[in-house]
Amino acid sequence: MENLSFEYNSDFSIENLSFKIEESSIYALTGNNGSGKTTVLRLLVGLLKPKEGKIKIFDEFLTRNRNQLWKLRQQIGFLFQNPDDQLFAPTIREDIGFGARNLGLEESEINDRVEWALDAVNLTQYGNSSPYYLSWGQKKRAALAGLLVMRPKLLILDEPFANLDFKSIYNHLQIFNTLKKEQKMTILFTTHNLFFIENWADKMLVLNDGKVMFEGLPEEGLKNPKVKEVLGSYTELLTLIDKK
Amino acid sequence: MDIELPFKHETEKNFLSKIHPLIRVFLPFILVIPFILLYDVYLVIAITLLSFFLNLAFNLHPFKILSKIKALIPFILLITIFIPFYVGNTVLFQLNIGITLNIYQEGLTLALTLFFRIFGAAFIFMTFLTSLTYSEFIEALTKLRVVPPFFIGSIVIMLHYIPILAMSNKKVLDAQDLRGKNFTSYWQRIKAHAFIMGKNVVHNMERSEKLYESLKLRGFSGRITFSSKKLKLVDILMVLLFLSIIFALIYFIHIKQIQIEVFQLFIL
Repeated sequence: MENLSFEYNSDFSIENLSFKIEESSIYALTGNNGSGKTTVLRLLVGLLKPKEGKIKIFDEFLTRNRNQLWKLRQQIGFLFQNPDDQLFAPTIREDIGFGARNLGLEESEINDRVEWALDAVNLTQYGNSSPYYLSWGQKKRAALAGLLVMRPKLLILDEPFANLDFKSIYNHLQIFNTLKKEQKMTILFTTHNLFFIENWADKMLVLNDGKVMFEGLPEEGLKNPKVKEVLGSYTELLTLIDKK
Repeated sequence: MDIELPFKHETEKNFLSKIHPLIRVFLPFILVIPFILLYDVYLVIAITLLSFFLNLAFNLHPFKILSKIKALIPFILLITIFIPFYVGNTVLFQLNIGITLNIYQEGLTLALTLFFRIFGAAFIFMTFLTSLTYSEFIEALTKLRVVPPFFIGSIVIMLHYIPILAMSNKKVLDAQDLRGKNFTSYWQRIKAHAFIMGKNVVHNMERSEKLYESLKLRGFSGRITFSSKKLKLVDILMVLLFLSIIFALIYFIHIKQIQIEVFQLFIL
């Protein structure tokens, strides 16, 4: 992204946003509620139109051309925060196959990819189930499988660990790590949780009121006094929790 | 209580599963022909009962179907209940409730015929609808070709939100209950439901926008496609078989005569 600006009803704006994501890296986008994290993600996939600036993905500039957008979107998997916003088909298998079918693949290739994606997210036994009856964690994994089937190079995850129990977080991390290692996928995720930024991300970007406050290594960012002031810190939290 | 869509579970198998979904959507339109053409109340009841027993024999859960169409009974009653009071000449009963109301035999027969015609037709439609899985239903609509793709897309999104809407409605009502909201009358409950429903519809419209965006990101261009089966010769033969049974029932087999003879056999 280069000098990107965006305005929403004059209430909210993003100004001069620039950042670059390295291939096969994990990039954390953070900031307080309403800082513009989701807006940045939506700009990246062309769901929103920037007022100014350029977005370059895989050596191609993002335009409003429908064919070019679709070509780019085939390489990007966007995981919504709420899986119910993504799962729509009668069965998990049909939902996962939706994206692959839109790629115009042969039915046998679609089936192979669906089975592979189901296996990758450990949901093979739920293939014929309705998404409605799955747990939150399973729904999130099913929604992820719906993206993997399109074999994207970049995964954009909006709050991937929100509302998940520890076991599900473990499962998700395992899946993401495998994808990064085996498929060389680049991951961009938004989060409020400092734990994932500190221990999982290769790089972090802090947004505050639509402006970049910090971009760099998490170990440096989390020590930065300005960032600490905006995001808070473990130490600050611990002052309120005193078991004794 | 969760609201469930009237489709069978994806893994559930029954006798009708062998027939192509498109044919299963098409067949009820053939099977309701007797209900349109027959005027004899006994014949209409006989065919309704026959459908019920066939349902039972083929393990299609007739009682579940009946429980689903029971909501329709008040509407059918509303249509038919006044007919005996003004159709016909032969007075069967007289009601004196300040004014004298005549109940005519012809009207009563017509009302009963109409009641069983609508009920029987609804039963047959529901039998076939509940024999479909959700994906088979969408597949049949897609294959029909007369339904525009955007309409199918809208149906898919609408069906997706019905259980979610019902669930969020229930959650808000539960939260109100927990905070001591006490509904003293049925009217109050209806008003509360309507208010919450309105709020949820707006909320879910925003959510459906997100769903649309997520579909767009996965290549949605106005047409939703799922995996589909091909129509086989046996499916076409099935339609022809049902058509010939219906024609035989109406024009060649004298059901009324058979019925009279069966009655006589038991009575004599």
